Amino acid sequence: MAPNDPLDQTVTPDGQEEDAALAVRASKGDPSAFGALYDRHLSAVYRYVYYRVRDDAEAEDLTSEVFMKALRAIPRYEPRQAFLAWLYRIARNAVIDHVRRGGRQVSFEDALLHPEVHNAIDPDLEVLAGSDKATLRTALGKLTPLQAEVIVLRFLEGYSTDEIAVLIGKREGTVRGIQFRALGALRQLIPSREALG
Amino acid sequence: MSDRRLPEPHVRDEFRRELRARLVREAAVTLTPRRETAWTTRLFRPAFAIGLAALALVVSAGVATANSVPGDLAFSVKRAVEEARVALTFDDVERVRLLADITNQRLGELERVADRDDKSPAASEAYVEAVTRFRSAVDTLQQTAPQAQSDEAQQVVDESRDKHEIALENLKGRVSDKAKPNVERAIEQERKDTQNSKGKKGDQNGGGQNESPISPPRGAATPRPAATPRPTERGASTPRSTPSSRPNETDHD
Repeated sequence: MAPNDPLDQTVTPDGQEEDAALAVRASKGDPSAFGALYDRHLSAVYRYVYYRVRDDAEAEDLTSEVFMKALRAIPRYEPRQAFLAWLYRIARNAVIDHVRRGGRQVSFEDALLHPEVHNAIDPDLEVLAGSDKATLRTALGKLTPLQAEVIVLRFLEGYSTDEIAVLIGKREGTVRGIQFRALGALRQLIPSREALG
Repeated sequence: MSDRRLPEPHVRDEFRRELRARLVREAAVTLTPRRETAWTTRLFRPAFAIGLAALALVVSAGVATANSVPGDLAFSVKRAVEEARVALTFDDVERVRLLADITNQRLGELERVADRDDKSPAASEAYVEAVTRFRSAVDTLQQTAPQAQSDEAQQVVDESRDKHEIALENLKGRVSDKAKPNVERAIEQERKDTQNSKGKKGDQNGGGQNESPISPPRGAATPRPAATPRPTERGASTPRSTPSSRPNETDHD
């Protein structure tokens, strides 16, 4: 793993130290510690998988799978790595496996079909906020899959750049680069209001 | 995380509770306490790994040594081990058996490298040397040991000769030129020994002049059939111990 990989970063505040302590206790055979970790991170995991499949039942199945895998793997968990980052990686792999097994995954273009999409997009981000859903969807479909994923995770689902780095297994700087190029491409693909008017 | 984002999906309470209960149940089974064994594991794991590596090294060195042939670096180790075994064998007949085994070993090595110019000369020399030593030990034993031991030693000699005759004939055709003189010398000696043995048996059957129905006293020359090849300088010039010490022996050389 590269030295700057967010998965390899040392534990910082914001509850990560507490996560690490709970994970160590769990790995030594304390079931209540694992229960506490579950309570802290269930919503984040469920949210991530739900937006990948957009189906409650499938999201519940995948969430169960993620935590069961985490339970079996926790003796090998390395506390230097943020616990949530570790869980996100398990969740992402679980979604990939789900698709390989023939399961459905919502495309990133279809992320825009969510009724609340315009409330999610930052109005200052004109290229996204100023477009109708259909135009945005078409433009998103013309980006590379990774660019589309970063745009959706960043501007619709609200993940921070470092969280996205963990999720897609890239460095934070790389994520910023992908985001920059994706927005540039969208500006090319989506005509401005002035041009349309 | 940004404030503007798609709304949080709702996690059903029932699902939340059920999954939690399931995980805690599973954790009680899956996550076995490690505290009790942690210190022992920490202490012994490196020692175990080092021990395993050392064992692997010893075993591989042992295998390399056992498979070595004359001319190899590991062959000297093999010889040292053999010498130690000989030195620690105090029974005369057992020592003769051990020397016969070593001779067989040298012959096996010669067979393995017979067609290699770089190895076969050393292997043939080592074989000749082993045969010489073996026969010298037989000579000594038969001159000094009681009849029963002498007969046992002779049995070892006869068994070895039978094996070596066949092996040497097979080798003759494929051995390298450099090793050929040694092998031919060994074959020639083998042939002479066989003739000696037959001649002596004939003497025994026909009641040779020097043959006595009573076993000779200890220290006297014991009737001794021919031994395995003695293709050394000693074997070539003095096939057995000094003829004067063996009045019953008919020398056909």
